[in-house]
Amino acid sequence: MASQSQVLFDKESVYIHINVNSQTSDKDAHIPGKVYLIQKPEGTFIEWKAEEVISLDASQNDQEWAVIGSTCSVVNMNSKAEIRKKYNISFDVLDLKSFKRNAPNHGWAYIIFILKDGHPMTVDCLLYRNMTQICYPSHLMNYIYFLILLKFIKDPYTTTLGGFSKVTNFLRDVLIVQDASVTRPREEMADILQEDIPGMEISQQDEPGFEVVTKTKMPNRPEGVEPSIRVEVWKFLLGYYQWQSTYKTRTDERKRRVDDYFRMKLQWKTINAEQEKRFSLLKERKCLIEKDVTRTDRTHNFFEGEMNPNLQVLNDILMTYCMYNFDLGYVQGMSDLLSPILVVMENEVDAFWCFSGLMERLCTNFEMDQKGMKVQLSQIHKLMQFVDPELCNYLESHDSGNFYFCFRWLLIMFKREFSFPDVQRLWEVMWTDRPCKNFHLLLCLAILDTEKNTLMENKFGFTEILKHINDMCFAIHLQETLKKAEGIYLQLKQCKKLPDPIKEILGFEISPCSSSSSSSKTTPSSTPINRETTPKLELPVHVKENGFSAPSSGTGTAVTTPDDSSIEILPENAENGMNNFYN
Amino acid sequence: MASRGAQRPNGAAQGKICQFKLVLLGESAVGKSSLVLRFVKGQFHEYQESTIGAAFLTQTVCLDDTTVKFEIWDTAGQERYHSLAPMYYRGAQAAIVVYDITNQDTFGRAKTWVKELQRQASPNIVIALAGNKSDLANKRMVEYEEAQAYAEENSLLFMETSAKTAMNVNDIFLAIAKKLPKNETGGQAQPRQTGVKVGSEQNQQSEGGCCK
Ligand SMILES: Nc1nc2c(ncn2[C@@H]2O[C@H](COP(=O)(O)OP(=O)(O)OP(=O)(O)O)[C@@H](O)[C@H]2O)c(=O)[nH]1
Ligand SMILES: [Mg+2]
Repeated sequence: MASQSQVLFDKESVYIHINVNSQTSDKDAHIPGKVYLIQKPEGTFIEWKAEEVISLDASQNDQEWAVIGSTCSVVNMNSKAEIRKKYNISFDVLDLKSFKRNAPNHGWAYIIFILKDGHPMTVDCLLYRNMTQICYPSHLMNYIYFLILLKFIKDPYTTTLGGFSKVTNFLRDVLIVQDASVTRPREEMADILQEDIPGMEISQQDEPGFEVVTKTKMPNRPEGVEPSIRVEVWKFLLGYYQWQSTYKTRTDERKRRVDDYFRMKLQWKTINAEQEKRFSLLKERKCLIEKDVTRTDRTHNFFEGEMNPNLQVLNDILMTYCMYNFDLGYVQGMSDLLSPILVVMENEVDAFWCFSGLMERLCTNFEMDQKGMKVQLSQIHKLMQFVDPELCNYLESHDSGNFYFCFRWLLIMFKREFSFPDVQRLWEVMWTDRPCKNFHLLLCLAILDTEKNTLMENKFGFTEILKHINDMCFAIHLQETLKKAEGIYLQLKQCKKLPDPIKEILGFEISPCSSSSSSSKTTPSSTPINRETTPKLELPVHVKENGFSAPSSGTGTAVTTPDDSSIEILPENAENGMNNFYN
Repeated sequence: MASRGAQRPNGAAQGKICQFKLVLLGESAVGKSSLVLRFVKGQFHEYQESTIGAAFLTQTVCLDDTTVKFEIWDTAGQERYHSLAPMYYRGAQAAIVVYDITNQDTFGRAKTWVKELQRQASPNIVIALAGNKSDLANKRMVEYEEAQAYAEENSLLFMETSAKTAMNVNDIFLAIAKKLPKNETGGQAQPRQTGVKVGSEQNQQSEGGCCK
């Protein structure tokens, strides 16, 4: 960059998507690079530069910047590095006609910039890939909001989005999720993500051939992370690698982690039989781990067979985790959590650190007092009370208000309920904390909604419900359930009278003068007026096998905004159901 | 199945159905789930996965002219989940406390469970002690006599079992069924809600015993 230029913001691991027109999964269609917001004497520029290929001596010359022309197709490549430089992007923000960002629910995000001089199909797409917990670079986004607002004010006519092309569709199909990044703490991002983008309001005009992502549209979920990059992506998602790390810092970090791992492994490896006799706690855990390792996923080909060496790896990681977190130790269920990680990582050290990252998220499930489990079970109760009072009442009056039948789901994050590929996808989604905090609780609600008729029509009691739920493993449709859970999320999000406890569970912002909490208190044990006729919250996905009627057709239908008057607010006695247990 | 318990020493009323809640307790990996699987489905899985939370199964046996339906709660064995156990043994008419004959510690743990049941469970609960994995006699760490003496002291039913070979598995459940009171009301577990459907293989059509 020239010396007078000042970098206001930069961000690594931003990919551009270069051949949006061809339906290809060629990975070269996504070029990694770095995005900058640069203040130059001649204006403020958004620039993107391809990641340097190690051998390449990148002469950083401003002349190399070029705006990609209208043809986004790939030039035949001989020298990747050389060619990639051709995609470097630089444009003055004042030349920006519009930009479009996808709905933030997907676990990835992209931004499309359309320049004023581009004809309608000239799509300069700057994909901000984030896998997940990430977020948009708030600086950049804020800055752009600001600039665009300014532009609208200055020149409302030319900034209309008439040229908006139907990019969402064809992008959606070719988008694969890739190595990701983000530097902003999640909490900080939440607000921005929930806000409407100014550009989006405008783009809502109905233009034939245009597809506008609106917030009520059920998004098509991507099929999780592209398997070939899963091994890298998980390291970011599980906090093993930092989002803002570089290749170099990651290499260093990994070296350190390898040493650290083997140091801890040596700690238990070097305890001899004599010593072990006087170290009963360790011995106990060792036995427990041995017992579980021999019966963890032995039907999966990664672990099958009598003398499978991967069993030893599973054992060693769990033993080392004991040394890493001796206070927690080994608790049943942990081997279930490790197994899919080891299958993906295929490396002892990486699997260990990813596993310990996962345990950071889930350790309260395993603590002595089981507090994490109790809290989650009562949170499901609270959510259910609000979302589906009918089912909630049913469960309460059938000894199931403790929601204990969800125990296995929660303890090991649905590991036993889905096939391996589904578990991988599901976990990726959960680790993004998108679309909201505790999304897995909404997944519980979604499954229960699907089973509602079965439970109620058969008049199942506590034992039958537990049996039914236990027997459901491998019978839950993941994509449909995720969609339904997201539908519940969207409805709650739009609900204006959401009680504070619900907001708290889902990490929604609690407005200081919220009337919702007072309304929930002033209407204790209220039954809604016209209970029969009041429409309840309608879920977007309707399972016909269970005799649900579909209010609108197909998947991806718009979610009906619930009429606030129809929402029943029950007294906050969610704890009651719990009291009978855990005593 | 139909031949099980076919002796009819005294003529109990025809078609009487009794329902009992039975809970399995014991250290992790002693074979609780395997015993239940053997009893309910006649199967054995070498790599039976650990139980998380609890599992619920049913099995019906015929004893004389009485149809006995077991509602079986199979619990998770690890100490960490101990706090959940009362939820399962509360109201249980019977319990099988399981240990692994190749592991002395599991026998100690079994004794703790027995004590807890005697203190906290229903006063009339029928407790059976099962020394499982009897097929692994060459690795035996708990002597039969030792366990038997303990069982006698505490008036427990006692058998060594093997979920793997099926030895004594049906027998221990049957012995429990025999010991349970089957009078008009006493033996009847809490009356179930109507329309209860329990999806076990064994069809528990209400009327009529299955021995005929
Ligand atoms: N040889 C032999 N192995 C057995 C027998 N019963 C169970 N096992 C094995 O012991 C292991 C543990 O059995 P489970 O039935 O899962 O034990 P559990 O008591 O239910 O364990 P938790 O669910 O963890 O409490 C499995 O690998 C079984 O195959 C037996 O009678 N003989
Ligand atoms: Mg078990």
